[in-house]
Amino acid sequence: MESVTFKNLSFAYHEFGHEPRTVLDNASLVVNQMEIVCIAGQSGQGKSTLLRILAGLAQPRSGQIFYSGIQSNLHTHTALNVALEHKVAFVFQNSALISNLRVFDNVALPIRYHQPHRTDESIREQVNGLLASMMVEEYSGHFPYALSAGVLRRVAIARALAMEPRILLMDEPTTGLDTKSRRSLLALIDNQRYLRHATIIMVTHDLPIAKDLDARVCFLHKGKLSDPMRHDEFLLAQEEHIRELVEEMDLRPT
Amino acid sequence: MGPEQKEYYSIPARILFWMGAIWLRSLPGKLSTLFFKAIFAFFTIDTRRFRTEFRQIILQIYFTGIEAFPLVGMVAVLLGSLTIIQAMTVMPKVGFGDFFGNLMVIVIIRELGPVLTAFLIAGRSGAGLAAYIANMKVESEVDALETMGIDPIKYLVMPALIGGMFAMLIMSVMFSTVAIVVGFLVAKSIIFLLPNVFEMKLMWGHYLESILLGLRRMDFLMLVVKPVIFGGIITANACLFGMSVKNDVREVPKATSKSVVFSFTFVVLADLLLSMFYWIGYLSGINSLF
Ligand SMILES: Nc1ncnc2c1ncn2[C@@H]1O[C@H](COP(=O)(O)OP(=O)(O)O)[C@@H](O)[C@H]1O
Ligand SMILES: [Mg+2]
Repeated sequence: MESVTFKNLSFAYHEFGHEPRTVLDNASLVVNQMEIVCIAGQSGQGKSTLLRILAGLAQPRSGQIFYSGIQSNLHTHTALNVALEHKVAFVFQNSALISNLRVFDNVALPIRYHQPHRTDESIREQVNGLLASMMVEEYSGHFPYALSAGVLRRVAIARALAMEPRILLMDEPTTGLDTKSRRSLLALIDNQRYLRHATIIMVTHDLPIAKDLDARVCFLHKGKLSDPMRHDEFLLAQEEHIRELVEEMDLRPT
Repeated sequence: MGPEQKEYYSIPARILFWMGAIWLRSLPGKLSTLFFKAIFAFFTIDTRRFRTEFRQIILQIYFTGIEAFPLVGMVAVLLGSLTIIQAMTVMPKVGFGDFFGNLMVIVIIRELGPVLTAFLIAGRSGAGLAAYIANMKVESEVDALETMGIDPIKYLVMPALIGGMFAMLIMSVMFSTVAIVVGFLVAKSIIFLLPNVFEMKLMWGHYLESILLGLRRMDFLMLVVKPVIFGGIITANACLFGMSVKNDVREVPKATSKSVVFSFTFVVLADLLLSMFYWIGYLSGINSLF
């Protein structure tokens, strides 16, 4: 079943005093339910921008976006609408936890806000469950400034899961993590996908993820989004920019 | 499909359209849009969600008002004593108490109290609020709120605005009260220290009575209206400039100082308008209605 589909998305940044900078040029993709799709590419190619468009944080110049087969009206394509109507959650690269709320309250915020009838008891149970599933329950009383990047990332994922999303968008979830936390984070993400039947689109230039999570990878280069490729396909790809990424990752079978 | 048909609008419609577009792009237009959105959000609070939002409002009152109290109180003490000390140098020999009362009403209750409080709150709490929201924008916390389906206008702006207006009201009344009490104490102690120069007696009851007599009924209205309007101006400015930051840290200090500058400007302008309104009302006899 299709979960996220976009067709012919185009986007350009218009900065005052600069030429408009085209970031997306007719990008199209079909993502199936419960699938993980990675978007890879050199920095500055517009991966984050594409994800922000899918979350409604930016509006494409043209194109169509469907969530679970329902088209989003581009005139009302705002993050608020996308989150509420299509159950899309977003994990920011910098985690973006609310800095004056403790970890517990950060995760509880969307629940308290959208399910005001819930009792404190049941909210506490759910939040503690989410924190435990991300293995960060011991930090529940901390403020975000006191936590390491890896813990912040997991709390941010817990907060996104509190929305009970059908679609989870993640911006570079493994960047800046050491090997051990990276591995455990990936295992947790994979686990959640099966548990919640969520579709995951993640931006990354961490190509081994594709093998670890059995994901398809699209490459974004100069505004063009490639077709999704499996691990064994992109290792043999001919395009210069894909080969560069692969070599950087040292993925070639030796 | 045929060629696209151009829609036709009459000249007056176009003029109205452009006037509206310009208004929405102007600073007062943006400010009032934000203001009314937040007020609308206040009156459409989901009552079941009241706890989350009420907590935000209380926090804002605490931050904007209570935490600013030492500063506001100190300036009130200074202003109260300065007014009295200056007045005593030109004091008439008769009608001592009445003179003080009137002076306090004019200087502190009617004009300087609300305006100085507004300046202090704008410089301290308004700047703080602007920087806080601007930082949230830079750290994409505002974006995060939206992706959680939480409207920043409801979660951030509305509590700040309601809390700010309420806090300004409390602080302004506090300011006038402190200034009046301190003025009395200073006058009393000067008379006590220099009994040969000032052969008058100053009684608290008399002082207070003359202040109350000096107040017109319209003053009571202004005592509430002015601070609430100033509070609205200050917080709307802080939120607007805070929200205008994109994701560039360098914009934070700019947004903060702009919010303070425009708060000052609009507070003075609003004060001017309100004072004009006050005098027009007074001269045309509306005062007797209140
Ligand atoms: N707010 C913005 N205004 C103007 N240009 C931007 C903005 N954000 C990003 N860009 C530019 O758009 C391009 C794509 O950015 P981004 O989506 O962050 O790339 P990536 O995530 O692939 O590193 C970059 O060249 C960047 O400089
Ligand atoms: Mg990026």
